[in-house]
Amino acid sequence: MKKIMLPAFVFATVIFGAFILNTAYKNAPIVGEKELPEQVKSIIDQSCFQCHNADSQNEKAREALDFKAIDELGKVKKITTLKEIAEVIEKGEMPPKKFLEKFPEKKLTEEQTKIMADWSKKEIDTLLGK
Amino acid sequence: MKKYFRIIFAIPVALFAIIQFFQPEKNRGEITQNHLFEQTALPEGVQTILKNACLDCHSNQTTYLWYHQIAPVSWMINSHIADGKAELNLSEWGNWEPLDQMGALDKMADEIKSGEMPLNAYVLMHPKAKLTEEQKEQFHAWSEKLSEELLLKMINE
Repeated sequence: MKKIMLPAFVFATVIFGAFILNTAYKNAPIVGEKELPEQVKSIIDQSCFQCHNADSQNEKAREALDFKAIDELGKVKKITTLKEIAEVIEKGEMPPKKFLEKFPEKKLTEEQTKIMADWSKKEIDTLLGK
Repeated sequence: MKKYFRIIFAIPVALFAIIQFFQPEKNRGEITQNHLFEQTALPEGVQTILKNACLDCHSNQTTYLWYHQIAPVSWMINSHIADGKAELNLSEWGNWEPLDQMGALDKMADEIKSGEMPLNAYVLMHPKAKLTEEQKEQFHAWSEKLSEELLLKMINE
């Protein structure tokens, strides 16, 4: 009986630990959330974050951009990422058509598009010290 | 009956001959000061990567293979080149803002790394365009270095 106690204890600890870490991670706020303007945050939550997060089932979306991890990127990557965000939104490439067929209410309005584009441009300028 | 076969055979041949008169304009522009190679000093390895794997569709200078001159292949090639240049034309590098150059570098490195580019169909016909892991790393390192330079330039502007 004693023989299996230790492995069982280790096993339980790992499982439990993983569980706690996992939920803690899921509940973690979007990095830099405090700095995100309210409107930008709500647009991201509404139309982007569902696919662009670290636990996303959508591999391509997950690898292209994780909104939680933007602040962890280096300066160059952060700038190019922000630039790309503005571009794909302005071109109407994001959110993708297939996604919008399922969730038509998640389509960005012109106003929302502008809010996102202005925000990303402003962030880039800040990063460039302007 | 023989006559019938002859006609069946003759029609496609005639069509094939006729379409040869409709050839798209060749992508053979002069290299200007705005070309990436003229704008910045690149390591030789990176130049080789770009020449072998990118510039046929992403510049104003395509190196054509013999069968690219034959319709309908020439039409297909032409549309590939037009699409490629619309996405990214490295002959125009000098006309862009540093921020756009930075964005292009990032996308190039990403797409090369993920294997999206060069296109499989292109690699199939251009074996030299198949990039090794080493080449991908080299490209990535170069793009990061140039991006850092561009960043400094923009900050100091």
